[in-house]
Amino acid sequence: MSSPRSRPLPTLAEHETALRQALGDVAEHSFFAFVCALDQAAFDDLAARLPVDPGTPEGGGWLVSVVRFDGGFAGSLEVAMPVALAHTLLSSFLGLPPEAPAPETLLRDTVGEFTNQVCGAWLTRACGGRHFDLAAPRVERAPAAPLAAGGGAAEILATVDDLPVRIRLHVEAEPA
Amino acid sequence: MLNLLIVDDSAVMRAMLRRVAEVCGAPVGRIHEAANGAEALRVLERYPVDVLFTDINMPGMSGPDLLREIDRRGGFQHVTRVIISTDGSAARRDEVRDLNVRLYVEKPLRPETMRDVLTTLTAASDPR
Repeated sequence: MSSPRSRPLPTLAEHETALRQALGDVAEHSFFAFVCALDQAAFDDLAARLPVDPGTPEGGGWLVSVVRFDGGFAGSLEVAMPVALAHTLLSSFLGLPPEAPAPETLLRDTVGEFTNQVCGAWLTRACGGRHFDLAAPRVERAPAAPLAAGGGAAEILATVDDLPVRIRLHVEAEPA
Repeated sequence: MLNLLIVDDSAVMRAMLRRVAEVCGAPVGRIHEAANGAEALRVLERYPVDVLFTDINMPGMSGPDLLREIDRRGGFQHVTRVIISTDGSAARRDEVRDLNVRLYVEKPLRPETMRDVLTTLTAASDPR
């Protein structure tokens, strides 16, 4: 007799593959940005060489956004990117010149919307037709990208328009 | 001229949709914005709206709850409803099928998609 589960749960590697596809779709279609995969050493090197903006407000030059999700899966998706990339994405998204001013609230909103879209694109693929709920993104400044995840979290490193991005997926509950 | 109401908790998403609506060439009148369903209801009670674009997941009142409330209150049958959401699941599409949703647009979306939606709705509203 077969199991009621129609297919085995995705492995960490499969989650990472689906996340890469979701990131590519969102970056290209919504933000007109180009994505390239990175390994840890290249990510660290690129992050270390980011120019320090003298106008960086207290709290740091990175923005870290977390979206919690519930439905077929439950957990959270975290996206960390330099503020410079948030500015680039905002300009692309709204069709503004790169030198246009970018208020902090809009920068945070851009990273939150980016995270929301990547999470939704991944869940639409991963949930097997089930609907899901996304909480409003929580976005904070950080002095640097969060450290690499330990075991149990899917993680991808990439460049988006030549700037580093770290995406981390914590799955707390899987479909029954 | 179509009067629009854009409902999304993301300010940049609302700004993007507004920008496309303004430059796409469709006959668009006033463009209103709301950050959730409760704000959208206040706009609907106060201003004439022809097309409602709404996200699904929003704090306060979600998109589906907004559409249910519109039906409960009555008087908004003429408002064309368009969902714009990251949730492209079959279950979610089924959920809103009974809420008189004209179009379901999945994010990520290109600006051309929004332009095509407006063009389609404009053609549908043209009495000729």
